[in-house]
Amino acid sequence: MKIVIFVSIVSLLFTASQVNAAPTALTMSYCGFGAFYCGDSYNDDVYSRSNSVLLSYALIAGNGAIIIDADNYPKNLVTTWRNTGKRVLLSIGGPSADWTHVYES
Amino acid sequence: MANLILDLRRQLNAIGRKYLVVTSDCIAVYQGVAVPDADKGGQPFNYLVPVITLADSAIDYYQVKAYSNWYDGYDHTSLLYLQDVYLNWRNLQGYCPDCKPIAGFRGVAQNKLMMGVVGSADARKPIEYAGPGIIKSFKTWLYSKGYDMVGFNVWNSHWDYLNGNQISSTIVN
Repeated sequence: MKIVIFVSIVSLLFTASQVNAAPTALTMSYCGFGAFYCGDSYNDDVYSRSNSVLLSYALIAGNGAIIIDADNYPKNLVTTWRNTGKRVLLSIGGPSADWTHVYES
Repeated sequence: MANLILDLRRQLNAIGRKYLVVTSDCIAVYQGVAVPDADKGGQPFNYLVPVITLADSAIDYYQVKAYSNWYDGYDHTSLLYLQDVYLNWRNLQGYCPDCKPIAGFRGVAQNKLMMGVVGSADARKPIEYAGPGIIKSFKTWLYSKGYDMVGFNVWNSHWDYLNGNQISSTIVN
């Protein structure tokens, strides 16, 4: 049995929706970076009215280090999203992450 | 894991205000099975219950997958499925007929809960795509019950875009 956890470190997140109002806060997962990471998105395909963007994803190395695909980091998009009021989050893990490496490092 | 989260919180606090979000896959909260020991684990369902109990103060938000885990046999594209996911994570009475809320567990607070949905039938599997109509009905159900949560996550922007932003636009409207 494999346990997969994503832990995202967020610079800031949305405000909670009002009590008893239909929840409308929206985080879009941006499946970017290179083919060895997530690799669906290469352009700005994030819905304009979303509150936050979840960059998916950074990987976990065997020594517990967090690996970000720097060559394919969407720096310009992140700047654009932040300039339009979106919060940008980083998802750590991915579909085959082994958090044991993190626990032991 | 609880110790890792608590330690991570301490580390993050040292570099400025950061938010920490936990996303679950396969380790869903479910009232129909026992809660494992925090130091032993050993089963996927309810693995997070002791973690939430021990480390909730360090966690800002929970992003719950509402499309892949089994919940009382409901079709993953049904309104009942989304409702059951919500009720179990909040630890309100879920739809398992012979189950009770987990004793000693307060559930995830509504101001920390987000539910993840898929952006199109092609994003993962068609049987996991609830579609805009069900999501709209789910929001209406929350409102009618006086329930709340923070909002939704969509997996992912690429497939939502190709699907004409049907899911994202339903969520924000």
